[in-house]
Amino acid sequence: MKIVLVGSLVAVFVLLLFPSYHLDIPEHFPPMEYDLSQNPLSTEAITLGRALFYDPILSADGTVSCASCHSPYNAFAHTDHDLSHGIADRIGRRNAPALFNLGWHHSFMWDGAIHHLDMQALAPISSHTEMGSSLASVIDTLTTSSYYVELFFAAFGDSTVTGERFLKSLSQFQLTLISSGSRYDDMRSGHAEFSTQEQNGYRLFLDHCNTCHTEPLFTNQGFADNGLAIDSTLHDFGRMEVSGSKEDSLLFKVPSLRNLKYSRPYMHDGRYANLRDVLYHYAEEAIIRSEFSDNNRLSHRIELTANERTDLISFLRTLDDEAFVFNVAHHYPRNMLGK
Amino acid sequence: MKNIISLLIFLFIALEVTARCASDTIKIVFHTRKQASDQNDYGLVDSQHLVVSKVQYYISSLTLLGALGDTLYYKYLPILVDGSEDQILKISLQNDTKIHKITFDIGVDSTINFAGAHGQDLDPMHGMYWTWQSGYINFKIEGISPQCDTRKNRFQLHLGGYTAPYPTLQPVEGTLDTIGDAIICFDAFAYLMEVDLTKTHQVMSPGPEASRLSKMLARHFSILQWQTQ
Repeated sequence: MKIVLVGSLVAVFVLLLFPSYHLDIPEHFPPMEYDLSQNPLSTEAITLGRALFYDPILSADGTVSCASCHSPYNAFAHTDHDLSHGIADRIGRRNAPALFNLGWHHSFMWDGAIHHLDMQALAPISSHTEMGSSLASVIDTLTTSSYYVELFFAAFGDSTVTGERFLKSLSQFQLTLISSGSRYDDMRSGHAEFSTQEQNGYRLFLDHCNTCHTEPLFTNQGFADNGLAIDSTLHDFGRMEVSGSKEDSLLFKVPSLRNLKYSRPYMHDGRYANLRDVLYHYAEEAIIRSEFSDNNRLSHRIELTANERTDLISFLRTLDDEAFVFNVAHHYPRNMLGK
Repeated sequence: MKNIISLLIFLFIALEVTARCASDTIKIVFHTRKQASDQNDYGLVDSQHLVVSKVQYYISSLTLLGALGDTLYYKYLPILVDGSEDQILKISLQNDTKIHKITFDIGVDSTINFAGAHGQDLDPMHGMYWTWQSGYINFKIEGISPQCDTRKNRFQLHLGGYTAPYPTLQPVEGTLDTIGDAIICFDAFAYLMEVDLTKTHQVMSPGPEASRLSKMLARHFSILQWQTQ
């Protein structure tokens, strides 16, 4: 009896010690894919995850953090680089995607190689062209850091650093990166109206883009071939490199169209610097690969007039979320990392 | 409040009942045979030069069955077995329970593979999780053989994959009819002889080769009564 009572008291104590954290999710968003019951959010774990996200000690030479490629001022994308680079200025094969609304994703990376947010960090940490390290090395580093030992204690009730705790705390911080404050979101919640031009652009979007870039997340989370020519210097075949199936050749994960103002360049290899180049591609250059029978490929070019392209871009601008990009709660934790 | 008190009373009773039933602890020993005991075992002249440096694998859904097919013990969550030394799993059973059969799967099933970060034996820090493509390595065996035309004659077989058409989860079963301890022995040496290291020495991703090599694993497991020396 004593054991049971003590156990109950411990449970209450834990709940008081680790208050849960509430995510603010708009009503027009679908249910989250991420199972929060397997990783209940807490302020302490989110704080730990945020420190880890911005700390370059996760890399082999202590120079590259997650934020090195996922800059908060660029909706956590890598701007001004077509291909992202890591330690020793090694250049990778792809452009780092923007990070937001990750709780709604069921696959990660441009080829979907990672199927759970918790496990995504393992890839850049161990990649030769990114952080060049290993989970084992990261655990060793954090275990010997009195600073992180304290943060782990605060988050988990003891100071043991494990792979699970490391990964889940990073997930917790990334789950807080919710972009839902754009003009589009205001319109959906009835707090704003589109201009005539934006409305025209929205109509064009629904006619030509929504199949893949499905609202309100502006991605259907699937993989698609949007007619890009193969870059002969990269030979990147996308999803096929993971699945091994020729039917997946040149399929890449459909990115969200939110925050495009902040996250250029565009496409998996950053080949387009601005949206007009993207629309030009769809209208004039896209390759229609009729040899494949699936429905994941562009079936025809999207030919828009100059005015229509302007209207479409006007609509896409309504998906930019300035409040998300300038949210200091997501930014470099100067008071924690002290630099 | 009433519900909480009822729950506490139920838990107390359950603890008391459980304490009175369990009365015997048996051991399941995981053993890995890493070398030929006799160089003529497999008729290979160079068998004595084969060095197995690492054997690690997951077993899941470990089940002990009685003579009537009744489940004496079941553990779904995977256990990481490290073949560098004998590993002992202690299980509580009723006195004089005869174990008729032991079954388990080699590997981690898709449900766990899809479910995010796990701790303890499933913690990715054990080096049994692919960092570049989500998924557990079900079985890992590494070493050196002169038959390997590779850098430093190394072979590395990392077998994993949980999706069609190349899943690698493999069932194993063995009949015992014993009261007491049991040993689950993996004969790494015999397995590698069947693999043919002259042709296969590096598998590091899911696919047809991992699937083929996984299917060969079960027949090199033996489940026997364990008698201490």
